[in-house]
Amino acid sequence: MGLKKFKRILIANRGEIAVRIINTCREMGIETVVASTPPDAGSLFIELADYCHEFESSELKETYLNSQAMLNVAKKYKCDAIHPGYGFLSENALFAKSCAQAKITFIGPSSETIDLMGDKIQARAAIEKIGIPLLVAHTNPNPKELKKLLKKNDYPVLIKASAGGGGRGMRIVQNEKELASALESASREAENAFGDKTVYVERYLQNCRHIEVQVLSDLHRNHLHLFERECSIQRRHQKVIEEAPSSSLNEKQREAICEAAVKITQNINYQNAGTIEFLWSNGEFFFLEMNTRLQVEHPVTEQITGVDIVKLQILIAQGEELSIKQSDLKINGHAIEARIYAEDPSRNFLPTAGTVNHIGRCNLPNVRVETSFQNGCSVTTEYDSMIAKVAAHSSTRTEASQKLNTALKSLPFSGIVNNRTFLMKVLENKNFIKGKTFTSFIEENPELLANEDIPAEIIAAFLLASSKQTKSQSTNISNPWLNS
Amino acid sequence: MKRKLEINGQEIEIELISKSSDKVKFLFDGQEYVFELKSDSAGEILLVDQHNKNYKLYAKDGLIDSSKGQFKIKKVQRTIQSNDKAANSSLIAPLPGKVVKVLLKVGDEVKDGQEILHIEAMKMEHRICAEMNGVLKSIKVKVGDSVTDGQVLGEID
Repeated sequence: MGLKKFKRILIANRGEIAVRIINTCREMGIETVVASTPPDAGSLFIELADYCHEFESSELKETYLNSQAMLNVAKKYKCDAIHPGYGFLSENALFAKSCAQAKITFIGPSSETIDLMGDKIQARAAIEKIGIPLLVAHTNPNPKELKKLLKKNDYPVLIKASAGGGGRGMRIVQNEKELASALESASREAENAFGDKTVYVERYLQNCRHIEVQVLSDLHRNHLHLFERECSIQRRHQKVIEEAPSSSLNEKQREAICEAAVKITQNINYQNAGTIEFLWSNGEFFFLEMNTRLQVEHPVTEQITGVDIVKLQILIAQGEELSIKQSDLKINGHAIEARIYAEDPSRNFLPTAGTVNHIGRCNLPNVRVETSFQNGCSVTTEYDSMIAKVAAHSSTRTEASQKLNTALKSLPFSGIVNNRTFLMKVLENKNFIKGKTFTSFIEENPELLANEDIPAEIIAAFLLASSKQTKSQSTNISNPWLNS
Repeated sequence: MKRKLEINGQEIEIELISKSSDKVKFLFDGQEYVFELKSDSAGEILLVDQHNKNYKLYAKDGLIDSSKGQFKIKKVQRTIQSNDKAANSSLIAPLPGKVVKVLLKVGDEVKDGQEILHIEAMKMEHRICAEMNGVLKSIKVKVGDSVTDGQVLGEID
């Protein structure tokens, strides 16, 4: 394969991840094209990209989830390559295939690999062959047959979307009675989110950690890992706080789990960046799934390794051979990331909508604040509720955690109900500080959702602001970054 | 004058001693506080207390953000009992989103906790359940409708 340098890349995504990819492209002297929809108005990624195609529709099926529409944008702007980011078309094998047919490089693995790993049932079969442990699963979604297969002791079980990821189409089922209704709603959610309603059922492990290994492979059969991340702190099976490295692994265990990940990439001849997710419980690990794309939480890995994963993704897609070797990679310090969601922790983390009035500023060294929001931007229900992620790097876990907490204090994202206070409480929680982070962390630490001390100035602000309510409501939001 | 406030779901009582448009004096938890409003520019609030300490906060529609976190705050209404009844018999959308499924029709008998409809927001499904036993008196939405936070979706009798 001849080497070619990309001149212009379409980022088939939006929000903070588009900003993230644009930054690396700019550093590499590559022009960027993005596509936006009406709810994206005022977003930073539109401002930063060299070109922006404006979709009139805000329907996902006509925009970010539409392969043909995205390809048309890439062709219109004569892009050499497409970076899919995460979500949307990033794990769509047909899209990767259409890109190849249109002679536009898809920055990611081959469509065959996406297909193999994207179908969780097929993926499990492939992993089993390699000899990596996994949890026993039932791939027959027929409720009647499942009821017969599952004994009382098998509960709780977990229903997962075959095409899934990110917690969508997932349900924990406590007993036989809940099974039928949970299967139905999980498969409908799966169909809406991924266009495929197939689900499967597996044993639900208690007291376990979510540990994933970042992998990186070039087109020349060089397969590396960039160590692990721990992402055990989740609500509704979606990650909230992630860190690298995991505080629960010793050197031997780290080596074992990272080697298992590389064994997988070697066997399937993986190409580009990916993540292999495992469940870790009492010294045992089980393969969970492979994400064949860049992940939300990749910054913590970049912080501890000093590697720009997006840059390497682009170089690999250009056909270049990895210039780093496994022995060059070392873990430097500790990094923790928190995701700020527009959601209400006191109401079971339900998503919220509204306008972000004041984001705040954080000038701490070695802290990454990744967001595409600017003051005055709206949060709508069309898209994922993550509005920002903040990642702090320091020499120790304790220092990184303190630094992240300080950063969150200065980033109110005011005007919209969000989970910032909750994140700060997690970082201050004694079990979190001790590294007792299991996937059941939030349920096991109910004090995170308990009443807090109420500062008197909050009451004063309410009493004094409410008398001026009518005035402040009619005032336009000042926005230093928008030319309106 | 005693006042009840609900802050992040927690009910507290304060005694309002005096209040003007830019100064407030109140008792809270046995302590007296005096705050002066230095400025309020589009919800960006600067306060100073009796010890001359400054506080910067952001306020919008009962949502107050400071470096200490986010606080949802509202006055507690006196007609609590009738409100409770209304909340129970009405099906309220807990979040903005789109109705994707209506499981029952008007006239159906419902049991406390029974699923009545599903709302989808940000690609997640949320079930709206009955909070009392009764008969479904009305359903004000249909599949495909967009709903806002707090919207009444139907009633149980």
